[in-house]
Amino acid sequence: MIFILTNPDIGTHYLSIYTKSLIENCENGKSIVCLEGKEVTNKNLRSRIEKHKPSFVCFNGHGTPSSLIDNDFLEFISVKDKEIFVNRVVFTRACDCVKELGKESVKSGCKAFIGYSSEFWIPRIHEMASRPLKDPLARPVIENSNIVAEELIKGKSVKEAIQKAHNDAASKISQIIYDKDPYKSPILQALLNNDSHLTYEGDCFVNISI
Amino acid sequence: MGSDQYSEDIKNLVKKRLEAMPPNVSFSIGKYGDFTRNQLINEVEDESPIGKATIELQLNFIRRMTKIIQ
Repeated sequence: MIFILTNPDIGTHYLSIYTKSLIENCENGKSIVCLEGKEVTNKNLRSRIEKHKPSFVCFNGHGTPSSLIDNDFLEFISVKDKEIFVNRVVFTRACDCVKELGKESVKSGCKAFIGYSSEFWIPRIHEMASRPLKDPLARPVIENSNIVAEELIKGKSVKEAIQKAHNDAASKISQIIYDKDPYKSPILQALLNNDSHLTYEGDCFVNISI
Repeated sequence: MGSDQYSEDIKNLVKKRLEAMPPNVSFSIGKYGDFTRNQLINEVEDESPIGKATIELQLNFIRRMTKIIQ
């Protein structure tokens, strides 16, 4: 498994911190290779993929419909690189990339490409910026998204992983929908938005064999 | 993201919903970056790309909430 973590701004910093927490809590976390920050380049990713032959690639950062963005806000993977995803399951926690990069990768042999078909929203409280894991607004939203990767790592299929994330979002929404606490509204809005844009291309019945 | 023009009623509804949030809340919105509540209100007023994304999020939210409550 390869996890790619970029953190050029506060939103991606939050994603990065929550992804590291996911990896630390993962039973087979030792088999996970991380590519992080300035290390995230096309050359380095190709080299790690060639060496480790991962069945699962998880990207956290910014995206466009046709590309993944590096720590300098530049494209480092675009549709022309789609062959690197052949025979793999990919989860991009990034905006939009499932639309074109995902579709074209699957056409070329990627088993499944999971992602968000629009912007990924992260609510946060200003005072918690230095403690993302304790931010009560960001936590339920990002942890909901973490479920996709967690379930895949546990050996669940793409369909099961996405369904579990949907179920968790529905459960959280039902818990706070009538809550008058004004801090619950940003959570509700981000959860609903992200959940409604979580989608995939490819075979939903595949899992990652570790 | 929608490219439509939005009525003043829709923009006012979205702004009121944003105003109901505490001022120390921000949203990180993908590649657009980080926005405070008040910045988002201004973006909605200007109908900038991020303002339109905010309007679409709120409209989607209201549509889905209606279904969930039913």
